[in-house]
Amino acid sequence: MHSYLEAFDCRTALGDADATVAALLEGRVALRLLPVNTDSESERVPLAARGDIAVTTPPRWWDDLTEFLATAPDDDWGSPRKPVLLSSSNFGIDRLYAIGTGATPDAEANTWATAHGIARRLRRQFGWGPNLHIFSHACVSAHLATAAADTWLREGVADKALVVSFDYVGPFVSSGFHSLKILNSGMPAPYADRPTGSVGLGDGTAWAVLSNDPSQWRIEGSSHWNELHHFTANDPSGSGFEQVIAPLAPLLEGHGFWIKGHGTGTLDAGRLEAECLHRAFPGVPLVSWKGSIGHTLGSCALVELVLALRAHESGSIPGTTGSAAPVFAPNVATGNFDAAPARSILLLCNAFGGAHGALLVSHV
Amino acid sequence: MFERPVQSADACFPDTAGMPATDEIKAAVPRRHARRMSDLGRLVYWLFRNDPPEPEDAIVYATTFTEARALEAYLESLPHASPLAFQTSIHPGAVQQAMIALGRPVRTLLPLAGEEDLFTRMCLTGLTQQSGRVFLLTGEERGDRLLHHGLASATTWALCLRLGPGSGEGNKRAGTLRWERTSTARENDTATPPPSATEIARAVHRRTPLNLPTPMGGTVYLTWTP
Repeated sequence: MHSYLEAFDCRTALGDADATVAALLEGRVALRLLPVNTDSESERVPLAARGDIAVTTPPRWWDDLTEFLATAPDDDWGSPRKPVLLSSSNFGIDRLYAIGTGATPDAEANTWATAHGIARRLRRQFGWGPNLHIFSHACVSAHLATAAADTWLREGVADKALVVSFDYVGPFVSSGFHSLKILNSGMPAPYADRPTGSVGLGDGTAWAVLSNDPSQWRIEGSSHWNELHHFTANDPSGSGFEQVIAPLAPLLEGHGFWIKGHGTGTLDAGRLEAECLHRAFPGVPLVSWKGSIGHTLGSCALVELVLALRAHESGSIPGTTGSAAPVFAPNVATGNFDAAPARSILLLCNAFGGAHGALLVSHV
Repeated sequence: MFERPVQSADACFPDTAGMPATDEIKAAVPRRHARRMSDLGRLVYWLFRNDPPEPEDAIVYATTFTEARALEAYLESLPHASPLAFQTSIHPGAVQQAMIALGRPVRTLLPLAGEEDLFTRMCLTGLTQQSGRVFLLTGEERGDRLLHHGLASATTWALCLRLGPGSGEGNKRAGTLRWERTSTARENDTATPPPSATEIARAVHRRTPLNLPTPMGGTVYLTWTP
C-alpha cells in the first residue's frame, strides 16, 4: 500500500507555492540583510520574513499562519482515523526570548512559548479533534511528520492525514545561528565552492493532505539516519549522506529523477552532500532554493516538498538560486532545467546532530 | 492490534529514595562529554549505557519542556548568545547528547513534543515502527527561572522502555505493550485529563499496569509479567 499527496500548499516570503516557484524560476532572492535581533544596531544578516520581525504577543506570525491553514481542505481532522501531524522547530520560542530580555511573568502570554500551547490554539481555531501529534527535530521536523503520516496510512491506522509545519524567523533562533557564525553578513550560495559559508533564515509554512486514495503524487518511500557524530558538525566521512539514501536507491533504478537537496550554504555540509549525491547518482541534477527563500528550519522539508511538486507540475525546475560556478560537484544545477525527463523527485533534509531525512515521490 | 514485548523498563528520578544522585550520574559519563551535556542528557546516557540502541533500532523521544536549564543558560547569555547553550537547548538535545557520548548512530529518531496524551502518542508512534527494537524514551529537566513562568518541569526524571521485535512470543519479557484498536475511540477531550507523563513514569517504576485510551482509537495496555 502507498500513500499519496492529495492536496498541498506552502507559504514563503515570496508568497504561496505558485508565486514562490515563479519567483525562483526568475532567480529572485527573498533574503534581505536585516538586524540579527531586536537591536537595530546589531549585525545585518540575510533573513526572508513575511513582514517585520518583532517579538509581540500574540506572535507576529499567528494571523499569517492561521489565514494560510484555513486554505487546507476542510475535514474531520483530529478524529481517530484522520490525524493531524504538526511540526515545527521553534513554535513560539520568541516568547522565551522576551522572557530572557526582561518580560514579566504572564501566564497567558507564556502559552505562546510551548508546542502544546500553540497546538491548543490551533485546535480551538480549526475545531481539530485530539488526534494531533507534534514532531520536533530541528530542521528535519517536517520530514518526520510527513514520514509518520505515510507510515500510518501504510499501516492502515489512518485514512487521511493532515501534515502541517511552520517556522517563522525570530531573534531567539537568529541569535543562536549567529552565535554559531553560520548566520553572518554573507548571502547564502548553496553548494558554491567559496571561502566563507553562510546561511539565510526564512519564514515558511506548509500543509499537505496524505491519503490512501490514489492521486497524481505517490510517496514511494522515506528514510532517516542520525549520525550522532557531533552536535553541529557532520561526520567528515559523509557517512550520513550515504546512509540516508541507501534504502531508497533501489527504488530509483531505471527512473528519471532529480534531487532537491538540503543545501543551506554552509561549506562542509554542502560539499559532503553534493559530492555524495554525485557519486551515488552521477548526472542527476541537484538543487537547493535556500539561497532565495532562506532556510525555513523545521518546516523546510514540507515547504520544499510542496515547491518541488509545484515546480515539477509547471514543467520547469528552478536552479540553485544564489549560486554560481565553481560548485562542489558537477551535478549541482545552477540554472533552471526541464522537468520532463524525470518522473520522480528525491528530497533531502538535514539537522543538528547529523540528522538526515529522505523522501522519494513519483508522479503517477 | 499492535504489540511488542517490553524487554526492560527503567525509570530514574535522581536524588530521590533508592535512586542515584545527580553527581553519580554525571560521573558515569565520559568527562569530555559530560561537561557539555545537560542534566537530562546525562540522565538519558545513564539509562542507555548498559544496553544502548543499535543503529537499526528506533528511538521515540517525548518531552514537554525539554532541557529547561539549557534554555535558561541560553537566555541568560543574550544578547551575546552562547553557541554551546544554543546547541544544548535544541529539541531533542538530550537524546542526541547521550548518543554522541555513546558513539552511536541510529537510523530512526522520532522526537515528539506537546503535553496532552504525550506518553500515549509515544507508544502509538513506537508500536507502528518496523525497526528491530524500539526505545521509548521520555523525560524532563527541572527548571529554575522558567519554572516560575510555568515553562519547565518541577523535577528531573527520565523513563526508558525497551521494546523487543515482533510479538516476542516465547522470549523472556518484563511486560507487554499492546494497542487494541476498538470502536471505543476517545474522540473528544474527556473531562478527566489522562495522567501526565511524569505520573505515568512513576506508575511504570512501580510496575503498575496501565490502560490508556488513545486519540487514534482504542486503548494502549501496558501489562507486566508476574
